[in-house]
Amino acid sequence: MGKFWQRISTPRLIAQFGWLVFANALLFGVPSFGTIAWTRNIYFPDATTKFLQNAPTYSIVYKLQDTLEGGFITYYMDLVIPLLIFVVLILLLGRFWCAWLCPLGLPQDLLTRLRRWLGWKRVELPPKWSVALHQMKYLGLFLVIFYTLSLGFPGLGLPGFRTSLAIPYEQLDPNRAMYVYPQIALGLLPPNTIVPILSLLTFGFFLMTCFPIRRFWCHICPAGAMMAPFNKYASIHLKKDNSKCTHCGICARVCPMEIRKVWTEREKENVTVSECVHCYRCVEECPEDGCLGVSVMGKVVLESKSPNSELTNTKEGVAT
Amino acid sequence: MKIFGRRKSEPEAVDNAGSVAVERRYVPVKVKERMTGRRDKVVREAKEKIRVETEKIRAIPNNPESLDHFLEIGDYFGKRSEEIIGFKNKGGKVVGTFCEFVPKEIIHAAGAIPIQLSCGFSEAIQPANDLLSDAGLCPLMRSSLGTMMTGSSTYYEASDMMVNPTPCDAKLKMGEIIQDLVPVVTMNVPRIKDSFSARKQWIQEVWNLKERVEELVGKKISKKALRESIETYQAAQNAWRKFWDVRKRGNVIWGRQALLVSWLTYIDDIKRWTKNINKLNAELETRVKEKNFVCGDDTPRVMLAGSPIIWPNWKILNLIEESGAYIACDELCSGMRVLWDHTVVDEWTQKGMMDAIADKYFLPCTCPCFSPNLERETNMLRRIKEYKIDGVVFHVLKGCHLNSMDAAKTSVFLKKNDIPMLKIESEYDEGDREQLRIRIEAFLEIIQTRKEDLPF
Ligand code: SF4
Ligand code: SF4
Ligand code: SF4
Ligand code: SF4
Ligand code: SF4
Repeated sequence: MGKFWQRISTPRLIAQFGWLVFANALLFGVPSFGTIAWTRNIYFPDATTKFLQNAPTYSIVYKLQDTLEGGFITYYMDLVIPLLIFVVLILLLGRFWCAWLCPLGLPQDLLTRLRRWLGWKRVELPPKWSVALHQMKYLGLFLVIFYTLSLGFPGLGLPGFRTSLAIPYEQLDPNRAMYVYPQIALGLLPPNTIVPILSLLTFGFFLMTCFPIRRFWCHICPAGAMMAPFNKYASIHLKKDNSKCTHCGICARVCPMEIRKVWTEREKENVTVSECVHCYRCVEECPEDGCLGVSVMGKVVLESKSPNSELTNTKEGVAT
Repeated sequence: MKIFGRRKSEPEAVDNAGSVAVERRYVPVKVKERMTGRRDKVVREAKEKIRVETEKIRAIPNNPESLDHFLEIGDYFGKRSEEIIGFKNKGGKVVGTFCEFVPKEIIHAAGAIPIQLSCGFSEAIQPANDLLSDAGLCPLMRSSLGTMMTGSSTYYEASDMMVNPTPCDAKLKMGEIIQDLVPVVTMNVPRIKDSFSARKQWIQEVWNLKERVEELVGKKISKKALRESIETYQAAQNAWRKFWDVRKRGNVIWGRQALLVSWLTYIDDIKRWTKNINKLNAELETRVKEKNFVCGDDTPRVMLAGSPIIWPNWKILNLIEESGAYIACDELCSGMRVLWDHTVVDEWTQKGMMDAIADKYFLPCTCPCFSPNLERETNMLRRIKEYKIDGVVFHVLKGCHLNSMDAAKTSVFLKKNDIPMLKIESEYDEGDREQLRIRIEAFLEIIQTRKEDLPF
């Protein structure tokens, strides 16, 4: 709680915008940056930014499907370094990417903000549904990997698809429809860049679902699925002091990913689950002092505060 | 899935549980007249009791000045009564409530006055006994019922409607009786709360209450009014937490004074209450700075748990504190818990606000009516640590099975944590006073010895 400058959501929004504008679109989007070799080798976990021709923040999902032309050995060898970078990043940050940097997370948050501003109520996903959706994203990821592998193995006789349908996920990605037009307008992409029809459709779907439902896309995002299994073991995680929890359910109600675990946990200290996108709404709204917190390498950097705590100076005049 | 279906009252099917008294089963039509003859006696006794207890609190040396307001409101037959009568004469509606469960935000938002009816008049028990012919039932319920039947409290008389949650059998069946006398909204409290359906049902009950309150006042509760009401209560909740922060920092106010302040959240106008507790907080804060404490650190620190203690029935509190202990904190629904939990709204839509209100009264509630009620355990252990409690007094009103059984469970986990506990059972009248005193004094001696024996 507290005023907007005391809320963690504010720096988060700024970071999201900053990353989108400066890192993705302006800085690295400028051709001269794109030619620096090492920046080309940073692979981020998201399913985005293929639209930025020069951007280094290049998706590992695309990478999986990208250079099939190169033949079996080069192709899989090319994947080693990006995957390593990816795993190291995940183990450091978990899905921190999702709520703070992902260019597909920001529009979802903005849609939610818009709906709130209009005063429309949200559509609630019944717990069973959100669990089912969470499972579905693994199916999406499986399909991506399966497709890639089967094209990659020369023996399977599917080389025809390498040219006709090289990167199917690119066709589906709502990012294409969302960002290519602004990019063209900014002169970052040539005006004849094609936006796949499918992408327009998924973008429509994206708008329709993410407006009434908080972070709907993240429920089914295959890039999220890649990061999810590592989330719990990341050096940055949510921690809970179970002795202070009143089980008020507020953390579950404010969670855009409909995570109930933070609320229902009674024993463990680490309450990060694979779906958590590290938005820290729960930490922001939990009304008990020091009950929820964010710990980075074992150090607590953010803690929940009682709503009255800005009125009180607890250090002063301690008795006993 | 309705994506754009909005602007509809929510949820579609509001049931009308408890809206009609099917038939007059318990109370003969004439009961009110028959009982009114006994009104004078009840009122006389109650007034006397309030006077005595108020005097006792005033007589405590070093009374905080800002407590005066609360003592004034504590007089059920004084200022607040007049205000309520005045409000009613101007066409306002009064909604009586029982228990901690009733979302007062909603009543407040409708422009009606919520007022707590659970009753502490000991003399009113007899009339209820005559009706029920069972003296083994919960005295809180019997006292409320007796007061209602004899018409001896302005608050009862003024209530246009009563809201009766049904956490326990006593309240459930009492609701059935009072339905014969006044419209009652029954709220079904799901007693196993950790399922999705239970939460949904409770939210539905809260919507139902909203609908009934709207019917009563004859207009819809607007989004703006609801928001303002929630914010009013949030301010009160903040002030209340601050009060407990100050209590944590020094022994600046006795438990019997603190519990009066907490009980009056149910009675006083909430804005005025907030203003006054802020004043009290400021005064206590200076006391902490001046180290102007009401008792030393060597005083045994007791936590009071169990059945609610309702003004002016201050017997247990007086016994404990007059025997030389300090009630450092409590976990009563008439005490610390009244405003502790926060109404945190995620989205300020009608639905978002209603969800927040419903959750606030339901999920963190430690009422013994819930099972398995781990929340109570966590809460007690947390308070014991925070307020450096030496021993727990578990108070059970005779006939309150829920608390009595929770006491057994509590003693087990307290033993595990090496905290002594005393379970006492009491009635409203003074008959058991001496016997209780002996037990409490013996218990305090035990904790005193333990305290001195500690190695540091
Ligand atoms: S889960 Fe959401 S935030 Fe994370 S990568 Fe996918 S779209 Fe972006
Ligand atoms: S918001 Fe905080 S106190 Fe409430 S259930 Fe979640 S962790 Fe517990
Ligand atoms: S659990 Fe907390 S940090 Fe994770 S997604 Fe939910 S609200 Fe955000
Ligand atoms: S203990 Fe529970 S049922 Fe009993 S009065 Fe308190 S809130 Fe109501
Ligand atoms: S004291 Fe116990 S029996 Fe009496 S109304 Fe409250 S919960 Fe019910």
